[in-house]
Amino acid sequence: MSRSTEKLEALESGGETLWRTQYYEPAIAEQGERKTRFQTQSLRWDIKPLYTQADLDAIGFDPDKDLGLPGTYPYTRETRPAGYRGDLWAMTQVSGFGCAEDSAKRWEYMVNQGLDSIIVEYDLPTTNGYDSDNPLCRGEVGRAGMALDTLQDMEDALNFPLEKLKNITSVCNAPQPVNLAMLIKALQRKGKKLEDIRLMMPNTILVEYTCVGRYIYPPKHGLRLACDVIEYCMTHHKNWMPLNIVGAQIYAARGNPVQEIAYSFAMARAYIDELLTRGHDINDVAPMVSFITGIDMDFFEAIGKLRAYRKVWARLMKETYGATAEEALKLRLMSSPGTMSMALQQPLNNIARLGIEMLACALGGGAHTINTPLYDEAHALPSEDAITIGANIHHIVAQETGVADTIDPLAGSYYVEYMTKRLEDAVFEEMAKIEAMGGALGALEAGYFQSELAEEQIAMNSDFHSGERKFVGVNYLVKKDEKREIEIFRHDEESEARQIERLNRIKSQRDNAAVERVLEKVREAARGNTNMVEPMLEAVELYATHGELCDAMRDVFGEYDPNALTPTL
Amino acid sequence: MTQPIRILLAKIGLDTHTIGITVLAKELRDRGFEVIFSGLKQTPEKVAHAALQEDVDVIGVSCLSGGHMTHLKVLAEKMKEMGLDDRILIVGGVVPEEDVEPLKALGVDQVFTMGANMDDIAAFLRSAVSV
Amino acid sequence: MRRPIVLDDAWRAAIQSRDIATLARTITAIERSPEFLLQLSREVFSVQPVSSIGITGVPGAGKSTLLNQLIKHYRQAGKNIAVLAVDPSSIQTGGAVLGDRLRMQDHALDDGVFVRSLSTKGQLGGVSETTFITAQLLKFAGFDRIFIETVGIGQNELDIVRVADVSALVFIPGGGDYVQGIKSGVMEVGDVFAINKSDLDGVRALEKVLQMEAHDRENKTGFVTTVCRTNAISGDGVAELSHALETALQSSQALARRASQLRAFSELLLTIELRQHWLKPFVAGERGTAFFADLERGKTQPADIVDAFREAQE
Repeated sequence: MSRSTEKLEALESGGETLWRTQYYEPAIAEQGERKTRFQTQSLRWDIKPLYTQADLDAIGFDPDKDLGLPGTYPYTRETRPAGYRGDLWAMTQVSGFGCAEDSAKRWEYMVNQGLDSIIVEYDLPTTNGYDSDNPLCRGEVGRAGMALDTLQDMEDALNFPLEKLKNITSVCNAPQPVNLAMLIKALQRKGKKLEDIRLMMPNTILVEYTCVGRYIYPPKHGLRLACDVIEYCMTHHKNWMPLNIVGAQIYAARGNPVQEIAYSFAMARAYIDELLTRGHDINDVAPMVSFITGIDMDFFEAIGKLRAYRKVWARLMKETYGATAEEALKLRLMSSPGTMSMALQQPLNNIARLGIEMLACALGGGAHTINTPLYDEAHALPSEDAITIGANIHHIVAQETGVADTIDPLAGSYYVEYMTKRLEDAVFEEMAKIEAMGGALGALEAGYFQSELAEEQIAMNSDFHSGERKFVGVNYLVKKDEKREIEIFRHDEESEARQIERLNRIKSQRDNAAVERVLEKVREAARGNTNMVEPMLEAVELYATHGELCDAMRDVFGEYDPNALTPTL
Repeated sequence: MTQPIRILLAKIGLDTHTIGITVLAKELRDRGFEVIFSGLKQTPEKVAHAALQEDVDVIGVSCLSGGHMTHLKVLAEKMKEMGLDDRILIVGGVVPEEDVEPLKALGVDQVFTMGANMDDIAAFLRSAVSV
Repeated sequence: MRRPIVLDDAWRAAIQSRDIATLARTITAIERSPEFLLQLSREVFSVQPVSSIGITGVPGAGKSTLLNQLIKHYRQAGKNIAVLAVDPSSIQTGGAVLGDRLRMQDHALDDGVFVRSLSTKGQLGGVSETTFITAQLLKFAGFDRIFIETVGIGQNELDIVRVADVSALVFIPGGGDYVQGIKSGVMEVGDVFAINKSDLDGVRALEKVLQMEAHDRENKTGFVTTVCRTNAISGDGVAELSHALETALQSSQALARRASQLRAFSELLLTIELRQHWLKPFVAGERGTAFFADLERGKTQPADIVDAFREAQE
């Protein structure tokens, strides 16, 4: 037996320890390692130089139990049996600005760039439940999204080749019943068959209370409205997705992967529990629930997170809720490369970041749709250049790399399986903690989510400040006296006046007495416990405005103090 | 002994992204500042009123929605009206380069955007304010 | 450059018409100059109404939110209100995040409500050294009621009794544990025990404990304490709380407290005087510097500072 064969055999039996002393330590003896600590980016878990079977054994990894096969429980390897060999993911971007026509024109452009899905973003007056002429809204109309006041706006907004879309997502969380009613009526008036369209709504009000802040009513009323929307779609539009819990916002508030999954699932439970209380079956409710995750730069945290997401969901539905239908156990997910990794400085670097994050999304799998933020994200709304490149990144990853040609290609990697399993365990632990606080609502009202996230924000800031975490162009390889090299989108300052003019025109032409009557109907529905979507359908057709309808609910539910949930430091 | 600089931090407009202002509040506290956090969804009028009552040395406004020109114009007017134009006014958030000079013309003393170094902000305030 | 405050007739007129800018700048001057504090103390004790109310309690009890409701209540009755909201400062840096204002947004544009955030400036008693004189300034300015919200109360935040004429101690249901925890003396500061978040479980148990405590206290000291339930979110019980506070303001215990406050404040002025004109010059001076250098080198021990100080005064 030769000397080297002996060494190899000893290694196999002695494992990593022997390798460490005989190979690794001598290799770094002189210069040491390049960092004093190697840690994952947001969880700050120590990273070993090498992962082996021993690491999987140590955390109790069992391939039969923990993995399954694509399309089989616990779905770690994929929810859909054919992965991306059948259909690729739907390719989407977030968009919306100015008046309805401005947005429609932009969406048409996007569809022509090869995107087959649109995420509609409304301006802050809309998402906060005000009309464009409200004095609180000066300077904000049509700026961070599309202005929306009446059904007419929604109809005009949908003037683009809708048939080219796999799905359309409408982001209007606090006033979601109003928004749903406008969407339904606008689609109907355009002569569209509602079953031909897959409508998705985040309807993610609990995330708003936690970290985005676009809420109007107290949490219990917010939850009720969200559940009314879900319930309405369960009954009338089974192929729609009326609840997309936007974990990507928890990520954007600097939540780590464990927090993102655990908080999202705890919130999911609040909606589910409410719907079960209303007498629905878990096998009908669970398929209504979907998630949007934010994918950051740490490649293996990202891939572990995507795999753990589906597995924890399957276990939660089966073990806690006793769900049996496959559709209830399978996670529905949209992945979104991270907005927070889009640097302001040297923005073209963001294209590289997007490529890498998109690759992680494709490798981690599980997403029916992938959304790309764009390289000029930190500067302004996207420019047309950024939109085109964003669309191309989807196709480059999907068509040029081969990563979508086999399912869950990284399974069996010691490190990937270790990350996946460890994330799963940590998420269950965190979910138990939240459950003990009375679930998501309890944790929210106690300020738990907010203060935990604030701590992460502060910790991450100090990682950047100390250089522990490097961000090229921001705290590493910084360009002195950098001047912006890209063209950015400029907001049309006239659009606010144009929108207010549109609103006034509609108001002057409608039957005001009928509007008054229907607003009273909305108030009455709010006071009772019938589904709020029904009266909204009637109201929007009479051109009751978005703000009036939100105000009618304010009259009954009251308004929640915007600072009520702000953490005190 | 030097007295702590008092700074009012507020978000004006409907934008409710709080990370920047949360981190700034904490970092300034750790650098010896007294930070008064007046909250989200503030109007320029409310900010000016709070600044007057709190007699702060600095007003820091965060705005990520893009509505900064509108809001700061009103705030600068209010500050002047209330005799607060001797205070330092800084802006943070998403502000394109093109808007920096027009903001300064309105009376903004400095603009800090994403990735701004906390030591730089503190140093700027120390040099701008004589307590 | 900020203009200095001159305590002349124009100043007096401005303060007594509750001019916000003058009031605010005067409070800053109190905090930034001990000399000014002393000067001001000669000005503002000409009126002595019993009108200041401390709001204290454990962190998270909802003090600011409850105060927001109390202000609403008093405003409806047409009263002018001033609030001093005290938050802790960092011991290492002296910095602070003062966040109470956040919870009182309902009154942000109301000229009848003056809110000023103060940091403890390193003091441990739950209020700062300047809180009492600042409250006195607000009395002089003619505010009908002055609320002083302390930092979250722990074991020793008792100074509110030296600052406010009467105090409400705010509790939340959730087991009697922390009632036990803060019992050591702290309960003595409350003229009113308010059980906030009274929709939570355990309210009855807490109420019982507090009533016993109030009873005990009355037996020992003759001071009456009222127990009431509030809900700072809905506003329930706020009228009752205000009634209890008003009753306390009329009571003999408030008057008795006023006397000891004046004594404590006199002592404080003396402490500041000694610190400014004796202690600080010595510590920063030649002999002080030399002493600390020697101490570092192990050539002297702490007690020697007293000898060094005495020598320096000779």
